[in-house]
Amino acid sequence: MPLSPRARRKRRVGLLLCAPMLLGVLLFFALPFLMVVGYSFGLGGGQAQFAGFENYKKVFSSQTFLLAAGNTVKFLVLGVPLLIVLALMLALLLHRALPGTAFCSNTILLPLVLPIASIVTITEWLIPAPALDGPMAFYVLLALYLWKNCGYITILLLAGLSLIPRELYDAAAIEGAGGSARLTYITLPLLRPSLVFCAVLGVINSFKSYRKAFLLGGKYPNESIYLMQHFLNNNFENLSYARLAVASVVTALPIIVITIVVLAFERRRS
Amino acid sequence: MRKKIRRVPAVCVILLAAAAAAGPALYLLWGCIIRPEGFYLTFLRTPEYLFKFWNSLIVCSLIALGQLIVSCMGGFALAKYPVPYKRAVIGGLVVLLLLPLQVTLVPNYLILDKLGLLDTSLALILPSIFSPFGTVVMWMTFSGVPDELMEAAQMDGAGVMTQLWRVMVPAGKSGAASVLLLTFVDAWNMVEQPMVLLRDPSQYPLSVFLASLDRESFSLSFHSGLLSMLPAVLLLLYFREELIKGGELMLK
Repeated sequence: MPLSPRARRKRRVGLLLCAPMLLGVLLFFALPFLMVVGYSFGLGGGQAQFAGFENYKKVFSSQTFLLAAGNTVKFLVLGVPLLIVLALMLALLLHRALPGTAFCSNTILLPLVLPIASIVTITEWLIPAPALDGPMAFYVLLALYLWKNCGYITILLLAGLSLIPRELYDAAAIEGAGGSARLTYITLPLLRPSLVFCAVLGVINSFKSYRKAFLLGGKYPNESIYLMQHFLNNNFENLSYARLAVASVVTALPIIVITIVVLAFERRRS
Repeated sequence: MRKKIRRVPAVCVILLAAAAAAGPALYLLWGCIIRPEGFYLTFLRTPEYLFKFWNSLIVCSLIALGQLIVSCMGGFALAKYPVPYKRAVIGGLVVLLLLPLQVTLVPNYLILDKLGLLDTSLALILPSIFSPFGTVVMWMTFSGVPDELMEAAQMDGAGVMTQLWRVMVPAGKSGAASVLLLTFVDAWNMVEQPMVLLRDPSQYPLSVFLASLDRESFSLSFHSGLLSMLPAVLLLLYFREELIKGGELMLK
């Protein structure tokens, strides 16, 4: 079907506006990722020939890889839901405009802007060294993640809450719905888009916990906080690109699958 | 009265959260105040510090501004123009956004090497400018801005760029402020990229320098920490209102 000149012009403007972003993302994000997929099968990255799943077999039999993958999954599975639940509880409290709310919404973003180096210094001053070298290190890292990110997520959820029309709650109150019914039938369903976005931010920031783990424990920290990024970074330094590529692809796969499922689900809902 | 008493636990939780959030920053401030000689040590006895401070400030400002421009344009197109394979593009951006940085480290290193940018500040700046983060946020923000606003500007004969910068960005300034602040703070704290992409440690930005300071030297790590908090705190104060409102447009 031929497009009208107006529609064609609109399409061209859209493409031009997108062009810098698309080119940059292709060059610095998409192309590198495709190259990594190639490396993992032995194409490029200093490898002689197509290796099939040989690299994958080697990496999956590596203890360090399994340790790193296990810790990273554990961190995500514990951290992201905890973060969202904590922030949601705080947002619901702040939404009631009790005394202290203004003060709290002023201070709550401070952890976001405190430099990571200072956070690590203070942690080292406050928490005795043996705790940071033992299995407790994982929970210290988890607490730091929750502390640092809770504020912004709370502010986002607070914005989401203020978008829910008051009349819905009034109507529910007339029907005799209690607090928990209002939460499950009004607040949570209407907050769903906000919660999805917060979960995305939570995952991104949980990967950024590596910075703190690295500053606390260096390249080889206590094994409870040996994360996937330690494994990737150390293989980069040892020039084991094939191992690095396999671990990268294995990290990316669940992210890709979950994103597609969530986006498809969101599309069906709307 | 009864109602007031029932609110006490909730208020306590709120105050506790506020204290937990502010505590470490206050601790940092207190540590600096009780050792004022640290300011002297940091400013006058550590010349690298000031040099790195300004250097990092320039690099991070360029990243934040670049990211803002690229993502306002991209987000505008995705929200208001027919872009081919739009859903796939957005899905791809979200996936790339979620990948940890280390996943694409080797090819990124090779590409920057091919471009001759390794060991320069541009190796830190360019990839960060094109991070998909801002585009996704601005796409969400601009989708919440009503089409009529744009059409009204069109009627008045405004060109595409005027519509974007004079109408859309002011209408979605809460989202734009969030992108600017979050990108700046993230760049201000970068640790992994410089250690891989810059071979010469003297080029490391403030964040890596701070982390490499001897932690035993109390005054240096506290005072330099406090000073390096300043730009981000000022940005936060400046954009506080927008940031707090920020979600409303974005999540519509």
